[in-house]
Amino acid sequence: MTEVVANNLRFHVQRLSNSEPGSASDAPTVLFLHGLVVDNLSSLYLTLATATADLGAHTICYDQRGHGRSERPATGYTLNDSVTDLNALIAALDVRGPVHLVGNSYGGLLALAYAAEHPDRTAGLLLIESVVPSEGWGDRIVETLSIARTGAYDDRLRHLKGRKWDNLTKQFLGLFHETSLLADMAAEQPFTPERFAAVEAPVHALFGSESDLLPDASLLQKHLPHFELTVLEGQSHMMLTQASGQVREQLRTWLS
Amino acid sequence: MSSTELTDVVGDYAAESAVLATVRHMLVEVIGEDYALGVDIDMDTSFNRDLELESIEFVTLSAKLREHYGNSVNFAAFLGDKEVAEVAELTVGELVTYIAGCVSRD
Repeated sequence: MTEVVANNLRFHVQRLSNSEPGSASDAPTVLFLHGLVVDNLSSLYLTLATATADLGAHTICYDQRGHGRSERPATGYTLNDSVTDLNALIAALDVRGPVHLVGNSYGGLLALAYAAEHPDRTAGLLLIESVVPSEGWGDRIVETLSIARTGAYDDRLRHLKGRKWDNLTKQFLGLFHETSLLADMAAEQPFTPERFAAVEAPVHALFGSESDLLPDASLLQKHLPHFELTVLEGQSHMMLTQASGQVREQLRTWLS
Repeated sequence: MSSTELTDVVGDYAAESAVLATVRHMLVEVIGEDYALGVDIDMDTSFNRDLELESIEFVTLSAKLREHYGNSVNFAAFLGDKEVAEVAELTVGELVTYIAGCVSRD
């Protein structure tokens, strides 16, 4: 396990590269951003990261604060905090040139926020079932997570058991009860048209035809300067794990 | 069976045994000795059912293997177009056979 200290926190980072060190300094860097609370770097690592490294890109996955094997401080869970973490991590990892960001769910929103804040450091975005920063987005996350806490999502997680289930609930409950995450989310504001417009990099978004988030894609369409939408038929918010092959194909096309 | 074929079979078996020993050692490191002591890790052991390996532990194992064998062991090819649930259903033997095949081609 690789630990990297950035923004005064310990982050669990996994880097993949199929090229010899120094031989491909002009290869793109692709950074993966996972979802909130019930996720960590493994979902993207196991579905997309190795395929990305195979395409010759420098590939980086990390656990966001409070998630996976990264440190879980009590505070600092706003979207802006996540952007600060990501920027500090990019600096700590000595990444050269602008980065390609791939974000799943909340990770997609983090990619958008990063691109708006650091347009000069962002080459392109691939959003997978991204949370869209429309009016009330933070409250909707709190609501979804509260439903998840009551066990309504058990059917999605029933293949987990024993030690696995214990560890997932440990992260989940830890973030709920020992951090400011819910309060931070509840206080979030929608993006202004100016903030959307600050995203100079091209954005390619994937949404499932059955996803509750699909209607929000029109907001991205309306405000982002360079936007392309692909709807995967029959897919839901869980497309990364339920249709990994299709998402991988989209990623290959996007990166080439 | 000719002696050449026999040598090949014995060679494959030896390569797989070596890889299994390496994978077993790594798995004990990944899941911890306390837990690993209760499981006899062999070719039929399932990552999910027997070891209850978490996705993030699978990542740690992948990283260790990559460090050990280098790029000759191509995880993208091994994971192929598997969905996450299928990855969880893999056995130690499937991984070992795959790695042994990669290593012997080097």
